[in-house]
Amino acid sequence: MTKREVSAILAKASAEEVAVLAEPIKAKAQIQVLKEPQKTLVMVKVRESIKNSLFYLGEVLATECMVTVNGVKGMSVIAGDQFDKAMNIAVIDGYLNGNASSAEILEQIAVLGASQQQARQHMNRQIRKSKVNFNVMGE
Amino acid sequence: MAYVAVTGGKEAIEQSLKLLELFRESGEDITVSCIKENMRLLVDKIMSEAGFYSEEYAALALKQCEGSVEEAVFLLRAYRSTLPRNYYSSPVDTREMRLIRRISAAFKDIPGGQILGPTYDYSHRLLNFSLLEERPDSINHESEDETLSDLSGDDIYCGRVTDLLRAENLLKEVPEDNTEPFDVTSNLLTFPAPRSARLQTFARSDAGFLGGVAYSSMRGYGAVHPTVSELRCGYVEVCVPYVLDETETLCIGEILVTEVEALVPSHTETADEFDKMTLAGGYGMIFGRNENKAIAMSIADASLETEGNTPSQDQEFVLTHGDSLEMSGFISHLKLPHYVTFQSKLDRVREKEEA
Repeated sequence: MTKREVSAILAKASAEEVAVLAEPIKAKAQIQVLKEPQKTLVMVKVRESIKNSLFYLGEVLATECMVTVNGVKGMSVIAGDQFDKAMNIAVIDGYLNGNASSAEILEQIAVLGASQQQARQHMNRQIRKSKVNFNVMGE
Repeated sequence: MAYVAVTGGKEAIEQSLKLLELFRESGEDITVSCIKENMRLLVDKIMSEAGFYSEEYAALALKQCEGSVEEAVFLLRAYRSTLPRNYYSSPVDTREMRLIRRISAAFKDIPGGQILGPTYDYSHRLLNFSLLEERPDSINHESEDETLSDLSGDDIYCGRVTDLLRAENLLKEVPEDNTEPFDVTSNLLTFPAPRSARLQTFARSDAGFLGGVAYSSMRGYGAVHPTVSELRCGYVEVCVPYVLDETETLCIGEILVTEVEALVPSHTETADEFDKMTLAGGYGMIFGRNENKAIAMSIADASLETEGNTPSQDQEFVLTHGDSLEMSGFISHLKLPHYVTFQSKLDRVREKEEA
């Protein structure tokens, strides 16, 4: 999984779900905080489709954090005001950076992603049901 | 009468602030979470006009100021100014939008179909008195709809309608313009303003002002009565560069946005103009669900591409009078003491009377 895929799943997970993944790492690894969780703004850049140019839509409140896990850096930037979650995601990121073959945690993250997808299925079906079926008069 | 410098009012102001708290208090408190969950469109409006996406803080601002939109925008803008901006996102491409609604007024049949999603467009505008008695535990969700099981539960993504028009050469193919956007929050707006400045300004504009500009253009004070090629609402992922490895990006989460592409044929009065007729477009995109604002933005954008003397075609007029904070601040300042300037006006009137 790419960083984008992993971070997307973790960002959408609850703070509790992320804590479950991070706690075993925190229990056995040496964690040093380089940047305490803090609020920041993320300016959203958009490519508009009429002239294919870029503009700034606005800013998203986010929380960022940077740590080392056994001496390897890890970081997080997540939308919202979520200090504990940002710290735990940075720990997971640092652990993944130092353990490229950490299949077990990647598997847990993939399972989390699948459950997020599963949770959206019912709503997606409801939305799909609102698709218009046109009846053309005279045919 | 001589001019007199005055001070005072400290105790009265302190009491006024106490009274504000007294008036805000109610016998039935409402939680921030409750506002966030139940007043979603209002929360979206606040975030859009503040240019600051945080559902929780927008709901908090609304609670703090008794639901006043302009005060809530003021609070968020003020708070936002205390935070560092450490990241700029990668460009968001709405082809990757996870859709909850997507319609086209230009074509009946579009790849992916017309998905109505949640909309008030087809609702009867009749007060629903049963909501007076509604309690969380009294909401009766209908039993599982069996027809749903035949439908896919996958996330919904669709290509853009304008991509089809470009494929047919009906809409001009335009190369990517990667010019770094102008940021109206950090730089003084000068005219003519770059396109990026006007789109950012519109995205933050007061919805009512932008609606008025668009309405005036459609009614004849301007020349834009577009066709909505596509209106889509859904979630887009916001990604930032991963500073520990430049080849990677981090997704910080999803935001809900509404996007509109509106198409306008070029002006044709002569046969020559008719032969050269082309399609042009206007673009609208805003935080949250607010379709009328997004449509109005696309009209205002298209209107600024036309020439004329109407307000909607005057860049300086539309870009400097629509900011919620600036307009409410300027109007509000009239409540401040103007004793000296008013005395000056009185003096002039008296002089005229005596002359």
